Amino acid sequence: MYNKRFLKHYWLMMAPGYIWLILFSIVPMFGIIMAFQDFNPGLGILKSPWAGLENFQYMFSIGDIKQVFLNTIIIAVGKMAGNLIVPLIFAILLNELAVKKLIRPIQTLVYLPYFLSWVILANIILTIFGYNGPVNNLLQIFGIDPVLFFGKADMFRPLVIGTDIWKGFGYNAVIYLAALTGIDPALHEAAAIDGAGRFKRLLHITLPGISSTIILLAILSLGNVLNAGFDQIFNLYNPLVYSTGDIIDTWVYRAGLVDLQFSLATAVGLLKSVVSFILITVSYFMADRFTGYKIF
Amino acid sequence: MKNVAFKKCINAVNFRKVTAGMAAVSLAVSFAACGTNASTKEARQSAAAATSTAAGQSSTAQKTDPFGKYDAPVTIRVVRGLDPNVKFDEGQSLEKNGYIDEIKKQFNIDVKFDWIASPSDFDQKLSLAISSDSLPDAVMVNMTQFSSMVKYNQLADLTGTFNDYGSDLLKAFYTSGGDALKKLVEIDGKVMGIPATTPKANGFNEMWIRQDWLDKLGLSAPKNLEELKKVARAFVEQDPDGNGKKDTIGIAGPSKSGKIAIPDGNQFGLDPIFGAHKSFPTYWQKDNNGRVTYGSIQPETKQALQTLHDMYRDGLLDREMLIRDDSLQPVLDNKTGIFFGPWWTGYTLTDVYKKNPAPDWQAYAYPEADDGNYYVHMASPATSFLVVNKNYKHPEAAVKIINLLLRDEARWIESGLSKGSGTGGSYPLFSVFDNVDELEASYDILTKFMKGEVTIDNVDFSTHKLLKGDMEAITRLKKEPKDNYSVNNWDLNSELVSGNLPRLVSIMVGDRPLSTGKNIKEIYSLYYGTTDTMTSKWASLQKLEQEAFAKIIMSDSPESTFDDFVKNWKAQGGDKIIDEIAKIAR
Amino acid sequence: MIEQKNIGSKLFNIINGTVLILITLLCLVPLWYVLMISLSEKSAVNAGAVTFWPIGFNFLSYEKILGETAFFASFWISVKRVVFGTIVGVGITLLTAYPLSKSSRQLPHRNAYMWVLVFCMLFNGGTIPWYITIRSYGLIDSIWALVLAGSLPVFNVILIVNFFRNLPSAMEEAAYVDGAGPWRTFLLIYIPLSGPVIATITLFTIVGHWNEFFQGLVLNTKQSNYPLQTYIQQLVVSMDLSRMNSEEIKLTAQLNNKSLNAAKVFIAMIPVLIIYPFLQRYFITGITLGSVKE
Repeated sequence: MYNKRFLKHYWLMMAPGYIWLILFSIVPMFGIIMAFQDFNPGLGILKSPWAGLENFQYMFSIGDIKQVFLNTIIIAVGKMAGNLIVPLIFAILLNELAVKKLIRPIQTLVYLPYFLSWVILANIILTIFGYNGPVNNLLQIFGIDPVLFFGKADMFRPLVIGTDIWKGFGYNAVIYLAALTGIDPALHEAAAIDGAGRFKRLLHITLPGISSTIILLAILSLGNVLNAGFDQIFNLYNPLVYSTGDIIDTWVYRAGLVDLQFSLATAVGLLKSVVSFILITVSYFMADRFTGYKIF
Repeated sequence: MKNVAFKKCINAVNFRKVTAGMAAVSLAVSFAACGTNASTKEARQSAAAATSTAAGQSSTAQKTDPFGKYDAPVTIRVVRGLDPNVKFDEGQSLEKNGYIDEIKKQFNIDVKFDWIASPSDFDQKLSLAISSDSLPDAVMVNMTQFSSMVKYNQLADLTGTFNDYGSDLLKAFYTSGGDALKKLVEIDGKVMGIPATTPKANGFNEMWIRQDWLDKLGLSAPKNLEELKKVARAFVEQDPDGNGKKDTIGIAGPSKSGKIAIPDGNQFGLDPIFGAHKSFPTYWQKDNNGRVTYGSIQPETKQALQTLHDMYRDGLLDREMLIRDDSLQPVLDNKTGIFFGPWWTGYTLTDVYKKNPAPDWQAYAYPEADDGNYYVHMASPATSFLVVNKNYKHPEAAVKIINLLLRDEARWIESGLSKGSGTGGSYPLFSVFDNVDELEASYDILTKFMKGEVTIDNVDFSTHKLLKGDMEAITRLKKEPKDNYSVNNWDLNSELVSGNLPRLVSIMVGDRPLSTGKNIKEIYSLYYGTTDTMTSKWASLQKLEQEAFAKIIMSDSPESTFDDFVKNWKAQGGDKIIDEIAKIAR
Repeated sequence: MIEQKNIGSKLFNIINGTVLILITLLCLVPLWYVLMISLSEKSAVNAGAVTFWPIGFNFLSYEKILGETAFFASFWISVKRVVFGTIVGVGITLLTAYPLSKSSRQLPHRNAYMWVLVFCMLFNGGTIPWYITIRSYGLIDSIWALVLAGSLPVFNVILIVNFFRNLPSAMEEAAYVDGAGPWRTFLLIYIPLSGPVIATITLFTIVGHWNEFFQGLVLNTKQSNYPLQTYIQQLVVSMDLSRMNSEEIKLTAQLNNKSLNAAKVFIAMIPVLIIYPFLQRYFITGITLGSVKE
């Protein structure tokens, strides 16, 4: 299978991609330097004074930085897990739907919330969970007093994670649906003839059939461990839920209201990249070691 | 999804000027205002005189003529916010309209736009321009942007330009801002930006109340805190909207993006309730011993929060305050009985006048403190600044464009120059440069006009660009009795209801408390800018404060929350900032 | 497919169907809400009174949109962006992924290439240097900036690489024996076999370009060059009145029209509603790979 003549063709194929990478991704990386500078646009990146690790130190000198990081990680991990599992369950259920005619309309309709921005959705969500909103009306039928959902610190994280999953599961399911098409129907038929029930086939045919996709998505999603979703939280939060809902990005945003903190923002971005890179690398090698599967 | 974090940084720049303040000696309103008015009027006249002489000899115009025309064309690159809904006159655009032509004709200046963005995106785009050092030649900026640009050494020193080319009127505005204004824009004795002075009324929060609800329940406007509680309770419990449901809000509170108290006009804020306790959160003030301190950590603030806590617990405040997406919605839906806000709040009520019957919103300088005075915190004298790129060769061109706006704006409104978009929508380097007492003067003249004491012909409109239109509109809109501004005494069937009525209500109802109030005590902050320590600590301190205030009011947090807040605030940099303010205030 | 006709299975079908339909309805709520607002009278919308039924039902907003040239200009820019962006983006992605799906023996340093890609996915210099870079290429205000800026989503490349690697190597070997070069193998064997995954990344690319608004804002100096989502974003971002001067408040109070904005948001969703069913047939189980699986 190895043919030396093929090599230059391979390079030719890769050329557009890697030229793009150099032009639009690697060249702008000079900006990372800003994280170690007290960036002054008037002087430019070349002449701005060095600040060493000051920007990172500042980040960790914030009074409640532990809480802010904890909030970020809890919300981000909750979303990662939910956005991995819920679409998977949905895709499998949809695949099992008896009335085949409904598959396409359902698939189309559930992916629509993905296309609405958080500015619009926040208004809708706050109305639905409002003091006189439908959710509280429903609770009252069961004799439960109305709850100020978005005023309760302990409810904020579940609400943020839940609404994020709700917004995205239809869209995120697409990848699983595509993967499910890769499973040979003959396997299902053979198993069914052998008397395997739905659950057994799920366990022994469907899940193994898409396991590589699941591993791939799980590892790549680790890149978001410090991304809790600025737009969503910014449009939903308030001072009452700062203790559980204030994340790194909203914090940096508010710091920027006082002073344009270009270097701080760069430092935060770099920190996120480093953490993501470490997590992805470690999980790449762990996946290789334990399942023998290299995701890239 | 790249660039997410940085988007935030870019996002981060917002118009909100930094909360920092000062409380100086308070003065009753009307006196100080008169002086300014007289001086600005004189200035306008002399400015006009200067032009008329200059017009004839423009080719040989003196080098330092504020209205001098260049021999060779000069180009100025600017940027601007443009509301995407603005409708231009036929064939016009932001880059090609009557104002651009006028500037070319008067000065031989070509105006070019680096970029144009909607007002909501403007700060983000400007932040990008600042950070990539691709600034336009001149731009109007807010306090945060201004101080950053000064720090980055991107701005031209305008001291000489301002002295030589600023029109007399512009200079008069500058002087009218006094020391507080100087402290904002003069860095090491150099004028780094030319402030756009705002009317004092913009920062004056007052109580807006449904007069028709009061009448229905047989109550009168609450003058102090006890009466306010009583009225709010009646609004909540006695079904003022008559729909048989207990679904009305006594007093509105801020929305999720709003603030409980800020040093500026704050629609739906609770500032007047703090004022009634002589508490001035976010202000730099002097304590009884003359030492500089911070308003939010005073014992008066603790008392005010206790009052608010009780009111919230008793259901008098909006249950969903700080959580709501938009506090204006229940007002427009006729569910709210009382809210606090400045004079311009009238503009936001446009939609209610289409209802039948229309709600009767009236404004008062209440609740008063126990000594019978209405204590009101006053805003920064300027929130918008003209700055010029230090590499620009003709800084005076920018100043001239402002001179022209100040001199001719009233005339343009009359002649209908680029009427569709208006100066606010499309004049380059636009900002509201207003008399400090613009609204009080308008209130005064309109009141006299309604009484028949003045006529349209004997008013000098040169310093009041919108007043003539107001007088024409009020003639058509106002019904008898002419001195009563109840909603029923306007002609609500007129076609002017959506266009002119909101402004007239804003002035005649909204500015009435400030114009006629006898026992108003104006409180100023010692400083409205940003100190060194604030750039690194202020975001943390503000979070501490907002979280503490919200919790004290809305949840069952013990009183000790306040004491903890004070302790933490001081320890986490607050004390250091107080020292810095004390130095500046000296 | 063979189904077992026992009671448990029937029960499962009923519950499954009910749950899926309920979930679907839950996802329709925001869409319905936006539609109702667009069909309601302006003052009722501003008062927040519209919930599940329109108040003062009318088509005024939609009639108004017909007269808004700016809306259609932005719509057209978005269409162009999606068409060019998808052709260029999917093309580059597939071309890059194919060699990377080979082993290190076939493509020396293959792992190094791959890690460069992953590194670029995770690290970036931030908006400011990125903007400066694109400006230096002279792409500001050009549709090509929007087309090119996001052309190589590394996530998609990794997805395709994985899919290609899992295709049976026997196919490639047979092609090699028949004398096919890499281009023919790629175009005539790999591409036709990759329907679902190509449909997936095509969908991701289309949606990515259609939804993206931030680049549209940063890379254009004029509103007339904005793609549709940037145009809409500037309308729906809620303005904070307390931060405006009275002149701006007046303008905003007069010009703001939430029901018109809702109509624009709704119309902007129609293209994605139309495109999806075309790609959908690739996501229905059991039509493609059965024949080639080992």
